[in-house]
Amino acid sequence: MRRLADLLRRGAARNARELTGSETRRSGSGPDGRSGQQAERDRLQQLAREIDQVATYVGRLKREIGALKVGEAYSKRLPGTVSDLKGVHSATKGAVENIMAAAEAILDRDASAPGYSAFVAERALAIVQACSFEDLAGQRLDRALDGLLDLERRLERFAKAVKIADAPELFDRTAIMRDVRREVLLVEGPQDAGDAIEQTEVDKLFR
Amino acid sequence: MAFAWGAKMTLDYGTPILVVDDYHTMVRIIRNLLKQLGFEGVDEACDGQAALEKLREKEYGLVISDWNMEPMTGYEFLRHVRADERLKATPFIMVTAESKTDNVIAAKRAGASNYIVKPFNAQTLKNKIEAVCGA
Repeated sequence: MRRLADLLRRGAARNARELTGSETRRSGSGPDGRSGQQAERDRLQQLAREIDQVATYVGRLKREIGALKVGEAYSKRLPGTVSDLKGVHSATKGAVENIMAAAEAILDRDASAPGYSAFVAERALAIVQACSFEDLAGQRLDRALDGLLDLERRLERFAKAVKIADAPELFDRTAIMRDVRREVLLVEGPQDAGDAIEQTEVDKLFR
Repeated sequence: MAFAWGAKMTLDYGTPILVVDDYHTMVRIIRNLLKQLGFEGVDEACDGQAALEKLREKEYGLVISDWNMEPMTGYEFLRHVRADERLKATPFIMVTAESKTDNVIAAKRAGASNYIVKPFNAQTLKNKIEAVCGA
């Protein structure tokens, strides 16, 4: 692209030299021919400047795409985040199973049966041990969060650097159907603490 | 081990209850709470369509259903139940994480007997069952 801009500049310079030479040789050259060549030279120079600007932008775009580290994100960062989130899900399921089993065993036990206290203590200990999942799950969640925040920072930097506005949304049937379903059937899932309605408010609406 | 529920409800504890939720753990929690209340006949379904089929096969005295399920949501399920001449009188409690006012109003309009927001405690479930099934 830079080469093209240089060619255009050289073309404009040659045009100028030819214009000057012909003026020397033929001092009687008409004003229309001279101004036409001058306008042509200006257009070539303008074109060269614009191509230069595009070349500068493309260069910056390339550098910023490189800074996104897409390869690293796809080969390491995202798989690591997915793995951590799956790990949290799996650890939570395991802990719930252990806690439920212990609690159900206690609830099913006859409190007047011999050895009841020892039985309850043993199951209570199992519940306490199962709760240790929270520590490992918390560390995995922190790591996943770090990964997502890092990707967010890279995308934010890229968007600012290349000054690109969001493209209009492409037609995505699945996404559209999901949004319609969500809207029509009022399926949003859990709300944040401040947004969720309290049970007492629900009860008022049901009175 | 008996849970301290206070005064016994004047309910038919033999009445079958259908619990509908796509998360098995939640079904298990509700089943345990109902068991402590004295209800033994608890069946389960994992979405509205499966629940409708169960309701058409067997008579239930109470339905406790989640909202956000696929393919048929609890909201659609409720509307089907209320539109069905044979099923429309079945007490129906919505137990859900959908905690927007719009959802509560929509559920009430669709004929829900009561509405519990997750997470809930045992006392709330007990109170709503009493209110719906008549203590």
